[in-house]
Amino acid sequence: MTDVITRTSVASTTTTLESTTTPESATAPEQAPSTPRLVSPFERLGLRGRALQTANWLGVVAGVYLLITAVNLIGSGFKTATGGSAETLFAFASNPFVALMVGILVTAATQSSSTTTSVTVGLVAGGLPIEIAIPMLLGANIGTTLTNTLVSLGMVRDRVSFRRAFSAATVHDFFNLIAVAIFLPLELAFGVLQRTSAWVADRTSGSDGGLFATVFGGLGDVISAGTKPLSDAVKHGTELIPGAWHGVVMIAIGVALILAVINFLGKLLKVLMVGKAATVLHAAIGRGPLSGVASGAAMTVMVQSSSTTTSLMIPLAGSGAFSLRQIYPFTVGANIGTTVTALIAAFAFGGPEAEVALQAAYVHLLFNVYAALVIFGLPVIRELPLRAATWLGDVASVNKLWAAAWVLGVFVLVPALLIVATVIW
Amino acid sequence: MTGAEQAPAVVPPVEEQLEQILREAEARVAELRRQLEQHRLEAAQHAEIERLAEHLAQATVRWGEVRGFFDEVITELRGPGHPR
Repeated sequence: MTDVITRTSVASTTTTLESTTTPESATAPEQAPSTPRLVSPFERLGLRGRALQTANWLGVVAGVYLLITAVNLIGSGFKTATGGSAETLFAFASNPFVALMVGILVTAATQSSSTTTSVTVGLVAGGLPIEIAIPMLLGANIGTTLTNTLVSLGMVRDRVSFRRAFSAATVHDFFNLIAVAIFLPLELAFGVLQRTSAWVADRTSGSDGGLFATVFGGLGDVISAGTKPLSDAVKHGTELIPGAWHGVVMIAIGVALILAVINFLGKLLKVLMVGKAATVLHAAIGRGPLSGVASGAAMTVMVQSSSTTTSLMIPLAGSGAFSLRQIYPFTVGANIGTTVTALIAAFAFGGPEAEVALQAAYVHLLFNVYAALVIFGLPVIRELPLRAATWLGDVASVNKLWAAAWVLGVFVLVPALLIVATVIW
Repeated sequence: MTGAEQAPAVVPPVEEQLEQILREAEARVAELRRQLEQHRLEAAQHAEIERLAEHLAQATVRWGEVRGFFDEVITELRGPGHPR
């Protein structure tokens, strides 16, 4: 039978959406005053229209510059702090499960996997062994799922909405937990991620990897040369601090800068990209799961935060407009999209440092691509996160204790107890 | 061959044709209903995406709500008749 129903026009809806984000329309009298709207930090300075748009884009450029500088600062600081013996400083994390838990806890605390992965890239460039960095990067994937789970708790007053929202949030938790359960043992046994990321890093950096590597390496050298002066200025400005503390202070400044910049970039990119993100989402409606994965990845690249894109899905699922089966591929795509931040961070370094920094970034990318291919590609495993999330949503909507136990257990108690147990014994 | 002998042979094909037309019509109605439902669902989804700016503005953790959730859990644990 022929499709007799014509789909709703997407183009017109997108234009409307973009117009609602401009300051002029946002203050229009027909808009309810209680409706939350996206506000650029520059709007608070009184900028409007084209000036605001220009300031937003310049802010993004400055933010990326500061992000790369901060990652460079962390690399230099780590070298200064460890004096070439990074293994000693991170000896407590030489147990891969502890490193995994460190990744979970840090990401859960900062609510940003981009922060954890960027910091890890800087640390690896500064000498942290990649064997320790890999479980930390895997832990970042689990830690980042806390944000949308916390967002779903806000819908607890309506049982049906909460059931849908909590399932939509925990499908991301289960997917990432299963991904780690599959790939951490494989990594420990065969070094799957370490080997493949080293191979890709070797092909895309340095001058002996062909045209692509030359272009990529050259671009990295130019960017790192541009960001190094500011990084060096901070280094010299803190030289009075004695010994290893000098490096520790540099790392602290770098981490604080990354946290602030990622928050700042997130706010700007939401304002700038909301129209394009809507176009991507409109286009994905009525299509298959692969479109869902692609749209999730595209939107996360646009806003540079998987927490934002997966949290966005919570009200959409809670209202019943989108089913759990439709949300699921979107969250898988968000995992892949968020890996771009670490790749950008890797441009902070040149020469041999660039290769190891890129390798750390590739670990995050390849892990998420492999997870999508294996878990989402195999029908038997693909259903597991859906079934588990549906079950947890059902029981948590009846007894909230399940939801509380899940949040505290997975993201706080288990990681903390495992670290404490390892330190004691 | 007489007309009486021929009649039963002619009537069933007409009935069968009508039944066939009816089955096709019912199938088409069912398909139209499915498409209408799908269209309504997609229209609702497009409408939600129209509010993307609003949803994005709300896509952050509100610690007051998280605290309220844990307060409720603690109240339920302490109070009689838990869970619920």
